[in-house]
Amino acid sequence: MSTESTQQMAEDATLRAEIDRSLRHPVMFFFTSGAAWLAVSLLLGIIATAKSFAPGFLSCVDCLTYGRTFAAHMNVLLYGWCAQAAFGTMIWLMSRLSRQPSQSSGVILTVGHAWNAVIALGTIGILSGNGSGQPWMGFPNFVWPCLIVLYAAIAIWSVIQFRVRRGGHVFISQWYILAALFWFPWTLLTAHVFIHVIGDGHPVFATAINAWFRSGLLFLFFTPIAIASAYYLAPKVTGRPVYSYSLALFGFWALAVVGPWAGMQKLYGAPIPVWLQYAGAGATILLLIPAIAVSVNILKTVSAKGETVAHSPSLRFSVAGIIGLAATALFAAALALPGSMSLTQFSIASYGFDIFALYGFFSMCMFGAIYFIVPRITGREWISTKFIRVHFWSSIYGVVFIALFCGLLGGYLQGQAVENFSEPFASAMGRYKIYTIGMAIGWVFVLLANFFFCFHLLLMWLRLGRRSNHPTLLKHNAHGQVHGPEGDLDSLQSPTS
Amino acid sequence: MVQKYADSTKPDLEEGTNVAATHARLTDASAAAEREKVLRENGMEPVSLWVVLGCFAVVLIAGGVFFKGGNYFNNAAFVAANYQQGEEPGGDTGPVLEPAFKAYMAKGKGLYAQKCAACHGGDGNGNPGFPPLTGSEYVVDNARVVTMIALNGVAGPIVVKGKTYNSNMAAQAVGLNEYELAGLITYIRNSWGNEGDVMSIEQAAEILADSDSRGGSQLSGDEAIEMIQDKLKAAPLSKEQLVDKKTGIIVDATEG
Repeated sequence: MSTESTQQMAEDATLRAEIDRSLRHPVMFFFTSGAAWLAVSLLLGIIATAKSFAPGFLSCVDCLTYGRTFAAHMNVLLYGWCAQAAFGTMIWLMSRLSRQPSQSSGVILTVGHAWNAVIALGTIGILSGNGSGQPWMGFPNFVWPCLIVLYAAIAIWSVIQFRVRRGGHVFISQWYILAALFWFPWTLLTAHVFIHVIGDGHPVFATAINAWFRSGLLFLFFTPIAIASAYYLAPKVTGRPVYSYSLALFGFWALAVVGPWAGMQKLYGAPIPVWLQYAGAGATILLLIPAIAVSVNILKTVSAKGETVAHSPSLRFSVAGIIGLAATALFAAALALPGSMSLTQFSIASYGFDIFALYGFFSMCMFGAIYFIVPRITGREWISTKFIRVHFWSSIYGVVFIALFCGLLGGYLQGQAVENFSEPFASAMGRYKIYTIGMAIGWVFVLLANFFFCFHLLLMWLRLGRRSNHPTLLKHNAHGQVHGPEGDLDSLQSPTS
Repeated sequence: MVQKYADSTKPDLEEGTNVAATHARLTDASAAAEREKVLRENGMEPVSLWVVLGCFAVVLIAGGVFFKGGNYFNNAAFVAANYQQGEEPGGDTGPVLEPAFKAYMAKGKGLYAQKCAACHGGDGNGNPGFPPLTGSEYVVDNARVVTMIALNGVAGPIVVKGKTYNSNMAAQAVGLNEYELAGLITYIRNSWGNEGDVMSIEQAAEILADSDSRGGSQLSGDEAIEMIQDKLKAAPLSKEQLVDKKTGIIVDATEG
C-alpha cells in the first residue's frame, strides 16, 4: 500500500468522523423524538384497533373516540416518526456523500424542536376534535403551512451541501435524496393548495387530491429515502460494489416518471373522470418496475454475503426493508387491479397496505439506517444484541401479521361481504371483527419491538453505549472470535497512556 | 495534512506516517468511522434477462388496466346499472322559474328555425310559393288553425292575405310534445309584428287530440277557412304566469 493511499484513507476517516460529529445533535434528536412518536402512535393504534372490536373500550374518555384516535395514530406515525426518521437519515447521508461537515446543526436542531412542537399541537388538535378529517392530512389546517416552512429550514442545508459537494461524483443515494428533498414539499404544497385554495372545498375533488397525496407521500418521499439508505448501506457494509449501475439508473427514472401518476385509483367508481382512476391504477402497477429494479439490485449486491446480512443489524433491517419494498409494490399492484379495487376500496385492506408500506418497508429501512448511523454519531456501540434481535423479530411478526393476514385477507373477505347486498350490513362487519382482533395482537408485537428499540436508542442518546472499536453484531457467542477479545477502548489505551 | 502525521523519529511501517499516532487518534475519535469500508457503486454486472421479462410483463398488465378495452367513453361500462349522478352540492335549488311568455318564446324559437324557417323564412314573410305567417288570418285569428296545419300539413290551393298559393305542405310538427308544440305556436303568433296569446299545455293537448282523430290526412284550404271560427275550449296562459323553464308547467311561486 502506498503512502498516498494510507494517508488518503486516514484523511477520509478523519473527515467521516468530523462529519459524524458535526451532525450528532440534530440527527440524534430526529431519531430519538421520532422513536418516541412511534411509541405514541402505536399506543393510539392499539386503542383504535381495540375500539373496532370492543367499542366500549375507554369510551369514558371523550377525546379517545375511534375517529380521533385513528386519525391521530396515522398522522403521528407519518409526521412524528416516518418524516423525522427520514429527515435524520437524509441529512446524515447527504453530508456523508457530499463529504461536507454540517455548518448548520444548531439551526436544524432548533427547527427540529419546532417541528415536534407543531406535531404535538396538531395531535392535540386531532384529539380535541379539530382534525381536518382527511386521511394522512388529519392535523388542523394551521399545522400544514408551519410544517412546510419548518421542512424548508431543515432541508435547505442538504441542498446546499449537495451544491458544494466535494469530489464531484454523485452517488446513487444522492439522486434519491435530492429528488425526495423536492418531491416532499411538492406533494405537500400541491395537495394543500388544490384542496384549500383552488378546489374551493369541493368534496369529491378534495378526496381525489387526498388520494393522490397519500400515494405521493409514500412513493415520492418515504420510498426514495428508504431506497437511498439501502443503496448506501448495502455496498458500504458488504464492501462490494452495487450490482448494476445501469439498473440503478433505470430504477430511479422509472420511479420518477411513474410515481406522480399513481393514487387516484382509490376513487374507483367515484364521479371523477374515469381515465384518472385508470391512469392511477396503471401507474400503481407500473411501480412494480422501480421496485423490481431496486430490490434486485440491492439483493444481488448483498447476496454473496449472507453472513454479513445475518450479523449486521443495519444490513439485516435494510434487506428486510427491501424485501418489504418488493412486497409493498406487489400488494399495491394487487389492490390496483380493477377487479380488486371495487372489493377492497372500502375495506381494511387499504389500512393493511398503508401499515405494510410504512412499517414493513419504510420503517425497516430506517431502522437499518439508525443502527448504522447512531454508533457513528455518538461514538458508542449498541449495547445489546438481544434488544436488536427482539426488535427485529417482533417487528417482522407484527407487521406481517397485521398487513398480510389481517389487512389483505381480512380486507378481501370484508369487501366481498359488503358487496353482497342480500346480506345485512351488520353481518359483513361481524366477519371483519375477528381480523381486527388479529390486528390488535399484531400491534402488541410491534409495540413490544419498539419498546426495546426506543429504550436502546435512549441509552445511546445518553451516551451510555459501549466504548469499543468492535461493532455490535448479531452473532451468538461473539466473544473470542476473529477479532480477538472485545475491544474495549479504555482498557486498550491504558498501557500506552 | 501530510506534515501533521510525519514524524521522522518514529519510522514505523511507512515513511511519513506515524501509524501508532494515527491509529490512536482514529480509534479514539471514531472507531466506527475508521473501520468503514469504501463505498463502491461501479458494479457493471449484466442484468438478468428475467428482470427485463418481468418488467415487460408488468408493463403489459398495467397497459391492459389503463386502456381497459377502449371503454373510456362508455359510461355504462364503468357505472353500475341504473346509477344516476347526483346534483352538485348546493346546485339543486328547484326548477328555474320564468314568465310564461319568455319561456315559451325561447322554446319555440329553436323549433321554428328547425322546422318552419326553410319555407316560411326566418322573418315569417314566406317565400315565392310559400305563404307568409306575418299577419296571416290563419295564424293571428285562431291558434287552432296554424297548429292543425303544422301538425297535418296542407294539400291543394289555399288563399292567404288575398293571394292563392298552391303548394303541398307536409306535416311538420309530428312528434313534438305539448310544451314544444305550444312554444312553437306561441313563437309564430307573437313574432314579426304578430300579436297573440301564449298557448297553454291544455290547449296544445286539446289540438293534439283533435289532430289524432283526423287520422293524418292533410287539410284543404276550405277546411282551414272554416276552422278559423272554431275557437279553442281550453284557456291560454297569461304572459306573466311563472312556469318551470324546463317543462313549461305552471309553478306556484309560493311553494318554492
